[in-house]
Amino acid sequence: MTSAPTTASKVADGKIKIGFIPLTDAAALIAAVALGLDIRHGVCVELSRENSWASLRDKLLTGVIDGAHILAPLAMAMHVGAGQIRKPLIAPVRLSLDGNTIVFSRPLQAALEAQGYTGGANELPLKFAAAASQIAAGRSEPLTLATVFTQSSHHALMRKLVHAAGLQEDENVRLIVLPPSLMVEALENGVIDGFCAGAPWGSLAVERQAGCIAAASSQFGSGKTEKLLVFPRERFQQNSEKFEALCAAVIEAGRWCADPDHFNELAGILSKPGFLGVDAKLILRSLSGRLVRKAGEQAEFVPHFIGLGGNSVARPDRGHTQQIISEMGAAPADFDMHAAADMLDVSLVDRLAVQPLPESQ
Amino acid sequence: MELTSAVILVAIVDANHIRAAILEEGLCAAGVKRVEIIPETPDLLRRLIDLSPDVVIIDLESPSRDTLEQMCAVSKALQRPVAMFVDGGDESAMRKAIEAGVSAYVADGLSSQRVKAIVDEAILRFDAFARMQKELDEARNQLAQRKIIERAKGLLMKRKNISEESAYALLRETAMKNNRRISDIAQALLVAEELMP
Repeated sequence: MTSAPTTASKVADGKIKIGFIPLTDAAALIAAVALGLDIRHGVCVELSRENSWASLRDKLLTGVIDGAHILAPLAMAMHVGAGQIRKPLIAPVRLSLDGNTIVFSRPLQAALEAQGYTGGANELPLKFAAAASQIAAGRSEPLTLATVFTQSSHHALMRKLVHAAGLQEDENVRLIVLPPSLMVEALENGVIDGFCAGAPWGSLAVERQAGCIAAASSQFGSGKTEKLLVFPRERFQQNSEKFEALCAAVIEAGRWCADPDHFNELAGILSKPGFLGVDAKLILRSLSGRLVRKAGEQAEFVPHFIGLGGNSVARPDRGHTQQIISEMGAAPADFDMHAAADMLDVSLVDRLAVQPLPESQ
Repeated sequence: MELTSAVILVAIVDANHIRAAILEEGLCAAGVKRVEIIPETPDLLRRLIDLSPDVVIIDLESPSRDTLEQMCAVSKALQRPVAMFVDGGDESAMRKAIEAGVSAYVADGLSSQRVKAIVDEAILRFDAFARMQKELDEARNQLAQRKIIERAKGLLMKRKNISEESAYALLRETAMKNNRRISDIAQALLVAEELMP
C-alpha cells in the first residue's frame, strides 16, 4: 500500500479540519474561526477539540485532521521520528511563546515560603530543594511532580528545576504525566505535589484553592517557542493555496489577540464550552499576565507571560531549533539538525505580509 | 485462534464501564485468559506498572492517554519495555483503529499477529458498542418524538374541540403541505403555545 492518505480530507474544497487542545495559547487559531477570518480569507476551518496530545498526534499522523495546534517538541519529534512515528510536517506559523505556570500544592508552597521564597525564578531551585526535602522527610513517597506530556517544554522545565535543585529524578523526585483535567484533583488528593501546565490550568488550580502559582515559565527567560501550527508536509504542498489562506487568517487573528483592547472579548470567546469551557475571568488573567498566585491575593503582573500574536511571535524561529530539540528529551545520536530545522518555515509570515482585510478595521 | 497459546494479560482503560465490559467479554471469548479493567485515576501509571500487562487497550479519546505515552518514554523504568501503538507504520490499520476510537499500547516482544488479533477484537467491540449506542439514541429520540406528537394532539383537541383522529390528521396534513416531519410540526405547535398561550 502506498502512503497516499486514505483520507476524506476536503482541503481542496477549502474545508480544513484542525485539532487543538483547550488552552489559552490556541487563541489565534480559535479567534480566526470565531471572528470569521477564515471565511474572509477563503477557507472554512472546522476545529476539533482533542482530549490528549496523544489523540491529537494520532489524528495528525493518520490524516483524520489536516493540521494542529501542537507542542513544538512533539511536532519536531514527529517530524524527525524521535520517539514518535515519523511524519514530515511543516510549521509556517508559531502560535505562542511561553505561557506555562509551575503550580505547587499548598503544603509545598508553604514550605517554600518558610524558606523565604518571594516568587523569583533565581531563588526557586535552592529554596525548592530545601522545601522538597522537608516535605519528603515526613513520608515514604518521593516528591511527585506532574506535567502534561513527556516531549514538552513543561517536562523540560520541571526536569531543569529538579536538576538545578540538586535532586535526582526517580530517586528524590518523580516526574509523571497527567491530563490537565486530573491535575487539580490529584493536587487536592495529595497524589502530586505540583505540576507544570499551560494557561489557564494554573489559575484554575488557584481558584479551586488546590495550589499556588510558584512561577511562570517566562520568568526563566521569556520568548521561548511554545505552540506551533503544523500541517502534514505532503498535504500542505498539495493544497498550499488553501493552507496559506488559513495561515493568513491565523496570523491576522493573532495580531488581534495580542491587542490588550481585545482581551475581554477574547476571554469571552475562549471561555465558551466548545473552546476552553473555563471561566472567562481566569482566562483573562493569562491573557493580561496579571496572575493571582494564591487564592485571595492581589494579582501580580508577570511581564511577557505569554506571546499570542504579531509577526515576531507568528514567524517561526530556526534559532530555537536547539531549544525545541532539548525539550524532546532523549534524541537519537544520529540526529540531523538541518532536517529538524527544516520543519520550521520561516518565510511564509513575511511572504504573506498579512494586512488586515479592509472591513475588519 | 492464536491467542490461546500462552497466557497474556490485557488491561482495559475505559471510563465507559459498559463498553469495557463488552470488550472484556469479547477478549475472553477470543481466548485471552486474563483481562483487567482499570479505572481512570491519577495513579493510573502506578497501577499499570504494578499490573505489567502485555497489552493496554484504551479509549482513544481518554485524557489519560498522555500518561500512557509517558510509560513508553520511561519504559526503562519498567520491567518490560512498551512499544508504541500497533507496530507503527501501517497507516490504514492505524486509521481503522482511530476511527473506531481504539488505541493500544503493546509490550515489546509480543508477535504482531497476536497484537493484531487483540486490536481487531477491540475494534469490533468498540464498533458494536457505537452501533448499540446509536440505536439506543434513535429509540430514545423516537420515544421523545412520540411524546411531543401526543402533546400536540392533545393541544389541538382542546383548542379546536376536535377528536384525536382529526387532530392527528391535521398534523399530518400540515406536515405534508410544508414538507416537514409530523414531529417537527408538533414541536413548532408546542413552542408557539409557549410563546402565545
